[in-house]
Amino acid sequence: MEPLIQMRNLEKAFEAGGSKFFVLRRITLDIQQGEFVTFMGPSGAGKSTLLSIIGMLDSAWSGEYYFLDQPVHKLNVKKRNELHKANIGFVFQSYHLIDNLTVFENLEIPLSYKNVPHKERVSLVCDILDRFNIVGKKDLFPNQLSGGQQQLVGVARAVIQNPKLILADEPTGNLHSAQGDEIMQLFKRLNDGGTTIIQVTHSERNAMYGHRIIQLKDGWVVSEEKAAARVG
Amino acid sequence: MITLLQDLRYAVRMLLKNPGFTLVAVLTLALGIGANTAIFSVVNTVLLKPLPYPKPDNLVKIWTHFTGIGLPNDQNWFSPPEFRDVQQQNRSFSDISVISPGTYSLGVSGNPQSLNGATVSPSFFNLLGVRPYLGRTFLPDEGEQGHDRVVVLGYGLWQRVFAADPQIIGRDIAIDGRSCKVIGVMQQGFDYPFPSDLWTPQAFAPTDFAPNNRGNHGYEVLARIKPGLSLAQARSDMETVSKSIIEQNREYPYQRFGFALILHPLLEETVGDVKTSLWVLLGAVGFVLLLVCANVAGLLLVRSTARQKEIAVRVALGAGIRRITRQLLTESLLLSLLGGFLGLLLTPLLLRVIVTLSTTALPRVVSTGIDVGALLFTFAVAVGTGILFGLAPALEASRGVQYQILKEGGRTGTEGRASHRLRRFFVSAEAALAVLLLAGSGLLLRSFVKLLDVDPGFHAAGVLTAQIALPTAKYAKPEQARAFFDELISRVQQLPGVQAAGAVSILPLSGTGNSGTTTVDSRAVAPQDASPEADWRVVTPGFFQAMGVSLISGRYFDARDSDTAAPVAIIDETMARTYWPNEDPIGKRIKRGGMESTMPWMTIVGVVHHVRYRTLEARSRVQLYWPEAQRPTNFMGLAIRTAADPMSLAPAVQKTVLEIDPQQPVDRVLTME
Repeated sequence: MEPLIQMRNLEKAFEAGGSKFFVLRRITLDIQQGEFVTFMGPSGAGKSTLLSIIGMLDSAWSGEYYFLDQPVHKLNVKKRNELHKANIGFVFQSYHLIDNLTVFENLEIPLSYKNVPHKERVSLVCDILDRFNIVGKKDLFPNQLSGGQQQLVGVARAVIQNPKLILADEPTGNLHSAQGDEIMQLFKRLNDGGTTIIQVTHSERNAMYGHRIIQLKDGWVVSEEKAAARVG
Repeated sequence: MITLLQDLRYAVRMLLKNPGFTLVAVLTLALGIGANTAIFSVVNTVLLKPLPYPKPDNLVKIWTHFTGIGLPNDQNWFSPPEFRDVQQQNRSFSDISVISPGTYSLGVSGNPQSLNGATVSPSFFNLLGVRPYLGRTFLPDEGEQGHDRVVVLGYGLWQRVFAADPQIIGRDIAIDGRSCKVIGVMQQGFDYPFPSDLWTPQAFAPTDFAPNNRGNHGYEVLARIKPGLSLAQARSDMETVSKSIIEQNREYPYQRFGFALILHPLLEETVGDVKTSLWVLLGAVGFVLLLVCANVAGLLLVRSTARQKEIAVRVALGAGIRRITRQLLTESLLLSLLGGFLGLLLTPLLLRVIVTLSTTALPRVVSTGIDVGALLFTFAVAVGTGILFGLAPALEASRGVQYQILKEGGRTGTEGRASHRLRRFFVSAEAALAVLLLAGSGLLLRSFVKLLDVDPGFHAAGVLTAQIALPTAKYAKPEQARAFFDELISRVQQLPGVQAAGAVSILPLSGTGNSGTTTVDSRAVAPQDASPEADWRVVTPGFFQAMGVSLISGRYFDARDSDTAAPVAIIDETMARTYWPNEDPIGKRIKRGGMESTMPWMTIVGVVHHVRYRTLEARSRVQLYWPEAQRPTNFMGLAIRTAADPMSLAPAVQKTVLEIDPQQPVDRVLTME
């Protein structure tokens, strides 16, 4: 089976004052379907940038990037958008729920952008509310939820489309440990269900939930290792 | 459709969630649209629309020109002899008419009314090309004495006082105590010269054309240039006529005063005084519109910065640029339309306020309606600005998601460079425009403050004024008018609260004036300079005291100055200084008319402070006063000084007038302030 993600000599740099500053240097890696991968490294290592490139939110890079055998580096903006919309869900450190939309509407938004018919959207949202046990919160606004609840909604929003890949950038960064564990347990269950997950984290504890840890430093992949015994 | 409704619902929610921003943006747009449309509508009606007469470009006002007479632009009205000269000698007019605006008393049972109107040549209505609504206008022979007891009513008067009676034609009504037959009612909206309620025919007597009367400049003249002739040709013709008048009347000082005949297009005459002010005002509100656009654009750009995170999240969730644009467009459109519609509602209100406040100051303004073109233009500009800059976040998003915005803490993204530059431009533009407007306002304010500092020559505070026009038919003899005003002043002086009371033929700042050639008996000036044009005023004892006009030397008029006493006069300080520079003018002589005039010499008994009769901005001409007892007039303005609120005396004054004559209306009862 072909890897879900293949990257070959991927680089990102920007010009400043006549010099070139590399954010990512010759990134070459494969990520298989169903893997749970963690990117770790010091601040400025390029972890989040790599995540944004994988998520097709950043198009200013060079090299080769294949997603489901599709050459992303050759696709135009529209096709990339379609590929990303159909297959990738995002979970952010700061949840990034839209403040003026209710929980129900926040969950509905990505389906709306996929042109899912209204009735089907309603059905899917109700289903995910039930699955995540947040039916009672559906009419609340994000500022009426706790941090953990907001992140729960963020994860629900990411998975509502049944994406092949979930990208999580410091998903528990703003949560206390109990809430963080809850979220990581959720990720584990999703991964057990076949969803590929790539997370960026500084937390060793969170990294243990995954299969593999890729260390980055100064834009380079410096090491890859299996995660220690998984938290059961 | 459902998505559109979602976008709309979200847009409403966004606006409600930011009430401050929404209110400012909507009000700004509304005020910009409303103010611009209202002002442009006024400018269009007052300045730009042609006069509502056939071939209005051929209509002209004619003025006589006398150098150094102290009138604005040295322009003066016509005397009857001068009018006849132009009427007989011109080659360029198909029609010519005198106009003598005045106040008329309408004798309606139990409720005498004072009305504005004009006495005009019989050809007046034909000249303008206007037809009556009912009946007819004047026939040529109705311009002759004995045939002139006819009147044409204005539409508004016919409706107001005569209940739009269709049988009004042929009815006799009392105008100035004379029975006049109603021969016609004019079309609604016709009120020239503004504001006229009725018109009577001018019937000159033979004595009106006497040489002595050449200096009695009391008539406006309107003419229509013949078809095929230009204004330049008509002006050239008037040059010829003026030379002829000078030549034929050598005994009159036409040559010395640089006499000429001046033509102005009627539209320019109608709006000339207000043209500059209105264009300046239009420019100012144009700046306001620019300010509005800059303000709204700036507000939206700032908001777009605040929404960068949200837009980035939406893009991260799969929103395409089209979808983002559509959502933002819905929001901008909603905001802009709210502002636009509020502007549409505001426009008629603003217009009504402007029209109400400027009815007496701006000619033609009462017929102002909303100019649809201006409304659409300002609506499009303001709403378009709102839509354009509301799409700014979409423009940013089209450049790709700034992932840094989404990273870490959800901090708001920094403004894009282009957006920042644009916003700085708008802020600078707003500041510059605001400074310009403030500077203009400051200058206007300074002019106004300077005006307040001007010494008008009298003290307006605490003075009640009223106008009385005694009908000539009822008060045909001078002693009748004298008796009326003597009785009236005597009774008013006894009213509780009255400190001083008197009357004058024309009140200060009333917009009109009476003047004539005046000859001084002084060795300080050469004979050719001894006959200036002076403002003439008839006053009763008590007038100067009531108006607070201070006495510089000599005395005020009093009971000694009766009709049987020697003729006396009071002059103003300017005349005293000019013609008796090194001596006391008290006891010196002065008379009405030129050197050859047979009018009696009057002895100067007093010198008073100069009064600004015409405007506060400029000094008036030299001034000559004589006692009402020695030469009564039927038209006087009362001046009553009190320590209390002047308007509190109004009912008592009106009651006093009616006690003397139950048919006599009292007009324009106002405080002097």
